[in-house]
Amino acid sequence: MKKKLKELTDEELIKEFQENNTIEAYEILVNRFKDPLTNYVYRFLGEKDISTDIVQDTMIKFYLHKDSYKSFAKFSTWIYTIAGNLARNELKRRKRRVILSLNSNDDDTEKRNFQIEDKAFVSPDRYTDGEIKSKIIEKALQKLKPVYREVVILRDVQELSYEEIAKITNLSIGTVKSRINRGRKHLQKLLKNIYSG
Amino acid sequence: MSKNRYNFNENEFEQIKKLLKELPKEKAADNFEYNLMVKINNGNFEKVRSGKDSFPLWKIFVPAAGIVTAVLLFFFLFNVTEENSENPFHIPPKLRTEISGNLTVPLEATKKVFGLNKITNQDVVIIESPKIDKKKAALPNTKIQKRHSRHQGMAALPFKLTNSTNLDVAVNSKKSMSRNNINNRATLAGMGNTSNSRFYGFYIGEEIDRKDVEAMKARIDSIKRIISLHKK
Repeated sequence: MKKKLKELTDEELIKEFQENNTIEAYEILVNRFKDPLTNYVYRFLGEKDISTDIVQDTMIKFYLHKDSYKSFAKFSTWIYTIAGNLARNELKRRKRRVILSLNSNDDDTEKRNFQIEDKAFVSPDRYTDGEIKSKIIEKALQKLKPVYREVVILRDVQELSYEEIAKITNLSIGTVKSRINRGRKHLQKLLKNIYSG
Repeated sequence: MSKNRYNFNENEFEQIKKLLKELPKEKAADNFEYNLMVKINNGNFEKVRSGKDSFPLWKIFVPAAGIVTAVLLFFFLFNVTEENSENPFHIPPKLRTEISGNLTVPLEATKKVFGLNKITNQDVVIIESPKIDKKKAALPNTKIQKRHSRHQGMAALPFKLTNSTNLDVAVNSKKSMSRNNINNRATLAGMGNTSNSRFYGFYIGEEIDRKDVEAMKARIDSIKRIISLHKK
């Protein structure tokens, strides 16, 4: 039964969970989306702990409101929409409270470097160079306006289609493309020194 | 043929796209699923993040509501005290008819006084209040007024305007008191009894004790002696 469930698509799994309340189907979906969502939220907010919390909350919302998913949409779009909304709310909350986390970026970068799978095959010089580059790109991403950052991450980091991004962000495809273009241009200016070298 | 405004050149940002793709993929914690299932099994959903929950809209109105409540309390408290101490100048005076107007009188008494034997309890008897005769009302003062009228204004004064007058004599009509005796009670200033003497006001003439006068004289004499001795 479990093997069968693992072979099912996302939409089939959510249907199974909706109709039969099969907790295994839910667990498989969580397993499939926990990493991409964590990566997306982390790139958007730039803080590891809060990203984990938000993805957990996303999964809880999915569990509680499973019936609000309609089969005509892609499950990935639906779950990304929930995560995106929670991440945006977190950003608003931060603005209100004016929380400045000065050390979080450095700490998270250190942790993240241990998770690079192929680091053993990279020479120490190259590894250091890659680490610095990552830090600079992360900082540049955080300097982008949230409206541009969100779509750039969804397109260039998560590699979602324009249609999916439009559904997730509740924008038209034209607006999505325009924002991606502006975001990239801004990033290009910020990262001038990196990609020229 | 419509233009596609958003078909920008993807190759323009190839390097940026490559850099972003190269970013290390962030992964969820190892105990992510375990923690999630624990939360679900415990029903611990209270901390589910939501912007609306974090700062409800009604909280914006809390300070305003507090101020309004304080103002209302202040207003009512002070308004009550103002009502208690109502300004008497703002109260319109009662009409005379309202004060001495229609009075309810027992039925039997009405019958006796006015000889109205046919009236019942349900009849209303209106008795006009007696009109006050202005002449009668002024009766007690009539004699005084008449007496004053005889003298006709300034001529009625018991002393001459040009001369100084001892008030005690004038008021008490004590002829035995000498007008020239200063030691007697109050006397009008401008003692000269000439017609040209002017009135400068009242002063009180107090009786002087002879012993005091003699003591004062003795002091003055001693001072004079001392001065004369010094001169010599």
